[in-house]
Amino acid sequence: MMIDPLITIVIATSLALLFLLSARHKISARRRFEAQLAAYRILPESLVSPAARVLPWLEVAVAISMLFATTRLVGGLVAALLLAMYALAMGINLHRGRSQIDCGCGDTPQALSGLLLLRNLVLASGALLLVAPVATRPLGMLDMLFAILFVAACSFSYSMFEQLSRNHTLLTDKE
Amino acid sequence: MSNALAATLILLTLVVLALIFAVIALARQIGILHTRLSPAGALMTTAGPKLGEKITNMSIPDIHGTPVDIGATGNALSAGKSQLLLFVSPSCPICKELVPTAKSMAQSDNVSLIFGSDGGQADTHLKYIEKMNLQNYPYIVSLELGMRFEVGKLPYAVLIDETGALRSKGLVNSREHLESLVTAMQSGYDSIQDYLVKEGHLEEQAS
Repeated sequence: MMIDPLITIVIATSLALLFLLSARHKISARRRFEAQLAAYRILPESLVSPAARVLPWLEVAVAISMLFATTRLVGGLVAALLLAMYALAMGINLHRGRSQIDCGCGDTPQALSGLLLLRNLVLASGALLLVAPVATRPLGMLDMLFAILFVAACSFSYSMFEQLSRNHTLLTDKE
Repeated sequence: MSNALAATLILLTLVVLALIFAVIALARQIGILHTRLSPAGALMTTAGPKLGEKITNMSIPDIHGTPVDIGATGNALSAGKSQLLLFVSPSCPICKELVPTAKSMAQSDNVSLIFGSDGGQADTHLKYIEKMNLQNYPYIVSLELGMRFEVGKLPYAVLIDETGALRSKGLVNSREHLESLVTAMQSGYDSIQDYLVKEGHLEEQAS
C-alpha cells in the first residue's frame, strides 16, 4: 500500500511537534519528571535518574529524525515504540489500581485513565503509518499550504483532547 | 487538483480549525466552572432560634381549630417523626411550585409536613388548601408561628428532628434547596455553607 506523501508529512510534523513539546517540559522540569517516573514504580530506583535524563533527549532525537525523509523510517519506529512503552507503563499502573499518579504528560498534573491509554495507542499507530511506503509525486505550493493547515488541525485537536480528558477526570473524581 | 477544489478544501480546513478552537474554549470554560461552582443549597439565615435548640411548648391551632404540636411538645414528640414546617402564602408563586415537591418529599423521607402561613383572609387560605390538595396536612394560619422562627421571605422551611430539636432552616426556592435541608439533617452538616467551611472549601466568614 502506497501512502500519499502529504499524509506522511502531516503525521511526521505533528508527531515531531508533540515530541518536542513533551521533551521540553521533561527537560525544563527534570526533577519533577524524575518523581513522576519513580511514581510509576516500574524501573528499579537506581535506573530512574538516568532514564529521566535520557528519555527527553531520545524524544528530541525522534522528533528531529521524523522531520527528514531519510531518517523518518527509524524515527517513526522508535516513536511508536516509545508511545507503546508509555501506554504499557500506564496500563500496568492502571491494572495495579494506582490510577491517581500523575501521568507526566504535561505541565498540568493529570491522573491516569483509559482515555490516555487510548490516546497513546492512536498516536502509536500514527507513528507506525510512517513506516508504510510513500508514493512519489511532485509537491507544490498548495501541498505546503495544506500541510501547514492540517498540522495545525492535528495539533489543536490534540490539545482539545487533552482539555476534554482533563475535564473527564475532574468530573469522575467527584463521584 | 482544480483551483475550485483546492479553495473549498482550504475553506473547510479553516472551518474545522475554528470549530476545534470553539471546543477547546468550551472545554476550558467547563473546567473553570467546575472548580468555581460549588453545589447550591438552601440559604441559611441567622435570625430566629439557633440550630440544635429544642422547640418546646409550642402548640398552635390550625385553620380548623385543631391544635398542632410542634417540636418537643406533647404528641409531636411521641410520634417519633421529624417535622418539616413549610411557610407558604396563597400569593406566592414559588410556593405553589414547591408544595407538591414538599408533599412527595414528606412521603419519601417519612417526615410529617406542616404548612404555615401568616395572617390574611381565612377563606383565601381555605381555597388555597382545596386547590393545592392540602386537606391531609395541618395548615396553620398564625402570626406567632412565623415570628417564632423569624421567617422573612417565603417559601421558608424549618426542619425539626424527632427529638424536637431544630435541625435546619432556610429560604427554599427549589426542590434541591428543600432536599438539602433533609440531607443536612441526615449528614450532620448544618448547611451547605457549613459543609464548605468544615471541608475546607471555604474560609470561615466573620459574622
